[in-house]
Amino acid sequence: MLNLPEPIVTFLCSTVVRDRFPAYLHMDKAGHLLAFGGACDRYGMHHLSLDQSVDEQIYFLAGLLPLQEAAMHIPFLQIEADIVAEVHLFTAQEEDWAIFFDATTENAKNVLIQQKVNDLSLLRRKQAQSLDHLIHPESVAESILDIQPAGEQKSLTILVIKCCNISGTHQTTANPLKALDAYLSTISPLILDEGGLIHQSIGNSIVAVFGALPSMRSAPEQAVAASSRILEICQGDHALKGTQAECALVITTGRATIGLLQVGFGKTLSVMGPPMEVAMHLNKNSEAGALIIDKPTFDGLDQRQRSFVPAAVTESSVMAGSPLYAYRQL
Amino acid sequence: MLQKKICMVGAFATGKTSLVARYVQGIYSDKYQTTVGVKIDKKTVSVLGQELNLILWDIHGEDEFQKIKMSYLRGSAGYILVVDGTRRDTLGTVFQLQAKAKETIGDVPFITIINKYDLNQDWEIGEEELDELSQREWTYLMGSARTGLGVEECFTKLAQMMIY
Ligand SMILES: Nc1nc2c(ncn2[C@@H]2O[C@H](COP(=O)(O)OP(=O)(O)O)[C@@H](O)[C@H]2O)c(=O)[nH]1
Ligand SMILES: [Mg+2]
Repeated sequence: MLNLPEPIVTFLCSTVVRDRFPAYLHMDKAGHLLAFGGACDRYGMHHLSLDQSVDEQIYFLAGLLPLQEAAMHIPFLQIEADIVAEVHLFTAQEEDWAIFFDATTENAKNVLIQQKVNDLSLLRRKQAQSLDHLIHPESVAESILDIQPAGEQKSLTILVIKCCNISGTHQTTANPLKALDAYLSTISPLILDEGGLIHQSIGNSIVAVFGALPSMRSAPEQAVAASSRILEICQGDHALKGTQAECALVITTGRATIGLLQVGFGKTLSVMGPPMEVAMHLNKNSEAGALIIDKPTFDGLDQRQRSFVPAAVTESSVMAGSPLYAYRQL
Repeated sequence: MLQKKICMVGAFATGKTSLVARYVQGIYSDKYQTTVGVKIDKKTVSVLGQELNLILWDIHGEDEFQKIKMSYLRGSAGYILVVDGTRRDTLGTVFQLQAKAKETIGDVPFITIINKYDLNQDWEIGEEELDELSQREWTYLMGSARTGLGVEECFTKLAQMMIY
């Protein structure tokens, strides 16, 4: 067996295997019980009778036998209230076999991790919802935003995403607003995930700001991480329902003034300064599928610099006043 | 007695476990305890004068980390698609899951429950979504594991569809 010496096999069986309370069932292809053994009681299999249908005796196997696939593995099957089994079903020599192991402890560990994942996912959704897609910073709680309400100068990274196939006038999209909404709901979680804020939508573009929320990573790193995920989504078939997703992305970095403006009863995030202007300018000429970043953004990257090459000099780059870099997908 | 396996299918945290707990034990808790793997319960019911032993397979929700193994559905006499009415995307999830289920076990009766109807202020399922369900000719109903609304009805209706 596995080229393991006999003492090791014996040791494994008397420790690792035994501690997991194995039990087995042996069935013919008509679903009758031929034999059983091991810790059957532990898994709620009491008073088993041979030559009787397994379906009727063991309710949790009902419907599964005779086995249709060559094998089936159920890593966690909660049978009794406090017992979780790992179940292997397989066919050998024209007969079906079932093996049970206790997986209660392992299941408990997995539940803890999965619970965290789910909680975070729900939380992220709630956050996106309370942002109501466009940011209403008062609900983010001003204290979370790492900015002075009166406004301050800060190095920020601006990401502008142009949704290329939406236009307010053409007949191409049935309902441009709905299409934009679909983009927003797909893109927002990615931006929030990477520590950005959705600043606003302007025309068919979505503006996100990185560096306003406290983070361990540099704002350019966050923005590029979000961008590559957005590009990935655009290429995947899991994209946006009904619309062909096409995005053009630009990222700029620099000092800008950020603050909260009182608008009506609420407050809205305001960002002004060179990076915003350059971003808006680059956005005008950006092309679907491309991600263009300016030099300050490039300089703020670590490993990710390798994913970028200098972009050709164009009118835009002259306007930007610094070299530009283009993302190349690996 | 006739054994009938029923699977609960849907995105995570839509209320699959809560619906089973409400139906089988008549209890509900707001405390969220995620399901990893499969949890099995049973309940004996009498449907159209026939005694049935329902074996309920509460399968963990679909997300990035846990994909639902369609082979779990093998041998099901029916399944329940669970949508969280406060999360529109969970409707998209059941559309996908139903297609996969059909591939695996064929045309088995199923019913869709749009759960958490008690949270109507956060409701995200509108006319348009309901139209889509009607167009697909799916049997669906609104329900709430919390208040019990529609729960009994959902299981009973599916059981009727199964033996009919
Ligand atoms: N308000 C409300 N919450 C519900 C309802 N059903 C389930 N929940 C809650 O939604 C969360 C997820 O429920 P759960 O049954 O674990 O979902 P599952 O992952 O699909 O099994 C829990 O916090 C439940 O308390 C309902 O009808 N109304
Ligand atoms: Mg559950």
